[in-house]
Amino acid sequence: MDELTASQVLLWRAIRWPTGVADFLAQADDDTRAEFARTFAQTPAFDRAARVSVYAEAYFWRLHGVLVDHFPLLAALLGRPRFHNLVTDYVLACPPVDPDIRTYGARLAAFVAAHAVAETITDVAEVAALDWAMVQALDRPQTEPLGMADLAAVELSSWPELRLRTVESAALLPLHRDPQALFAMATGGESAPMGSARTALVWRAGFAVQTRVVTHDEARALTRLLGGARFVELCDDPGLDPPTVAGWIASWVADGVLAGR
Amino acid sequence: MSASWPPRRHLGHGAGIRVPHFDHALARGLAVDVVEVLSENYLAGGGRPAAVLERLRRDMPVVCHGVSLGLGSPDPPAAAHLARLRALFERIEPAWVGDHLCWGGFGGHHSHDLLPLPFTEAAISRLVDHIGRVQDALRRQLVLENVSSYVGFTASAMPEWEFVREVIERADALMLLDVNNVIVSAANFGFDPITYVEALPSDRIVQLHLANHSDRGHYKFDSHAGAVPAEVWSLYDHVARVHGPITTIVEWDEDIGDVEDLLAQRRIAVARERAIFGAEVGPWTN
Repeated sequence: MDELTASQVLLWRAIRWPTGVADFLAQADDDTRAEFARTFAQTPAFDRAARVSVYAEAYFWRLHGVLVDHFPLLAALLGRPRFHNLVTDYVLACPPVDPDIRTYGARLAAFVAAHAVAETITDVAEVAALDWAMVQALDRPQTEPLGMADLAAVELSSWPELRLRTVESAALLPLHRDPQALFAMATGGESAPMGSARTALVWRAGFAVQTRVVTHDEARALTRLLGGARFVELCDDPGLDPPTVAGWIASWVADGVLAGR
Repeated sequence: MSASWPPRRHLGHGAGIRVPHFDHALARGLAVDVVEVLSENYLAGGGRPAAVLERLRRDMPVVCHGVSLGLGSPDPPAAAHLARLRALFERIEPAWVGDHLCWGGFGGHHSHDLLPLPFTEAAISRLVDHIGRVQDALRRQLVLENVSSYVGFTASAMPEWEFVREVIERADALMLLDVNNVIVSAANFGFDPITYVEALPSDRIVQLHLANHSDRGHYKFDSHAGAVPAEVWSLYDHVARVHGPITTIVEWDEDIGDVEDLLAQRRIAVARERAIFGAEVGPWTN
């Protein structure tokens, strides 16, 4: 390893040490401490460990900041100390792999599912996934929504083969809490108790991300729609009939869930 | 004041737009000559960020400033990331694009910070190599910014201004001189900011940054929280007298208040440049 890279690796190890630069040096062997002293300059008022610590602090708090911004529901559900501990564990286990910091939270839902906090809050990964789905919906490519006039123009004979599609931001997620209660918890400190299994639909209409709970039947139809099913396939369900499906389609059009053709 | 300055595009005076400014920008535009966007905020290509960018691009020149290339890292920037940046730049055709003279990652991981380099021949060679690769991939000349630093390397063999000049000239790149970063690093390492700015190549400087910093007692920190402080304004005036009128962007990234606070800082920059050069100096985009 060349001298330049060696100095960078040393800085890299020091700023990512879990408990700070002072602890990094305390646990290091004599050779590492000597190399640290040989590599980094210092002044009487600002020693080299304190100087490197500026970067160590920035590393953690920058990642913490983006997760706070992207996971407000998870943060509210866990409360500040537990969220901070979760973030600390995540930063240690999952260092950023993408040059774009906005993708840093992509692995948090999967991480929290296997984290100790999931033993006491069993649906914590669902809440993290809801936060992340809303982040993703924010800047998905804009698709022109389907209008009622577009739908009315479809020939009756064409309906069975009609293949509708959702806007790119649409996603279905399992959830055991009312999303509106989660939002109230994040903004006003209300509680959002766990309830029965339900499905949340997340999508973006205009610039606003929308979330609502859908029934099990509607969730089945939406799952098929997201899979590219034709209208006749949407209706091919013992619990559904064409008028019901047509009613949902009307509501999806009204809400901007469906994309223009 | 009359002098002969190197030819450069002067886009005027503008601001760095951040997410809290989006609603204002969409509804009313932005009363500036030029706007700077953080490239990484617009890579996804949709939603409100894309709408803001398209609106601003219709109204004025846009410059794209990145924080993710880590040009001095052991490995060059990933081809996939460069392809995403290139797609963005081809979509909006910015006046110019850039990033920082720093490093940022190792072993496939990213710090998302602007990490310092030793001022050595080895670091110059690596930067020049990586900048060349990026300029080839993006098919654009890069505008590269000096960073604020907190730790120096005993291996450094030259002052920062010589290092910056060598990299910019050898890589045939352009320079974004961050005036606040010079003030911050000057305090943290004890050099004279006047010496720094006077040593830079006038013909390579195409943009200036103005921002605030925090005084943390034994060091200064590049916080971008608040109005541009007096010592930054003073150095800005000196840069103008030495290097001529230059496109200027005001940054305000933390504790962001009303967009009018940001625009007020931009108006001060206009007034100070005009006080030096006269009212006839304005934006031109030859």
